[in-house]
Amino acid sequence: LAIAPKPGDEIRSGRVFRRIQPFRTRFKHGRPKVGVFKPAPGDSYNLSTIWEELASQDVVLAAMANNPQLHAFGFCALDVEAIRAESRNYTRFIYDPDPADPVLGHAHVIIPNCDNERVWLLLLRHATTIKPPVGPEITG
Amino acid sequence: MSPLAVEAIERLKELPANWDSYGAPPIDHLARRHAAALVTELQVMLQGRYVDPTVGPDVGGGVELIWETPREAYEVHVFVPPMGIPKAVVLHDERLVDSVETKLAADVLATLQRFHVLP
Repeated sequence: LAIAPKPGDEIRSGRVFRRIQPFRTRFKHGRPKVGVFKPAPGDSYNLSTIWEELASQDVVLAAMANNPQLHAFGFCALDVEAIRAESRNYTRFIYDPDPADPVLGHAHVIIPNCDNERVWLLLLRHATTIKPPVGPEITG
Repeated sequence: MSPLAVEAIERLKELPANWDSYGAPPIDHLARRHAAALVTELQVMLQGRYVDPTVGPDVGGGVELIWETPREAYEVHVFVPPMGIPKAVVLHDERLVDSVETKLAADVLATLQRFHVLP
């Protein structure tokens, strides 16, 4: 990158990654389901993602392989430009490095205001599976 | 006899906090109770035509129920927002068809019938 982003900067291009939980309600027919894009209540409706410019999909894959809790998880990519365009720039991507994650925290990007079904479905429309989740909950 | 889905909903209580790797809470007992009531009432209404949904956890501590055929899919997300009134979001083929606050499974059933999810 010519200029490294600062915390709070808006990300306007590239892809971000989001993990897919290994449940049949989260992944079907090769695609994530809408629940993948709902943030946990403690996140104040900020959806956590990893920006590809700072952590490639190979880096994310390696990080997941090194974490036993994430072996069954998959992940998908979200097209930043396409989502911004469809939402007329309402849906934003904000650089928010996470010091609590020593492996991928430097690439942490949040999507604020993920508080309703329309936003979750918007993200779903622009999601591409990179690694499918695995395990009995998926194949059983 | 309880639908298999009720057993699956009951098993969701075994999920620990952070089951989604993003800090999700354990599944709320009230959401489990409402989701179980919903599928139980569906079974009573539909009898031989009842089909168990796929059951999974919702990141808000709720329950996801998905009925899927080769042609279409209906999703009902049952969860309890901070204000304490259970809510159900109904999706058809990944499109929102309704979002209802509900104290009774019957309210969700009415929505499903209104959108022809049920006969």
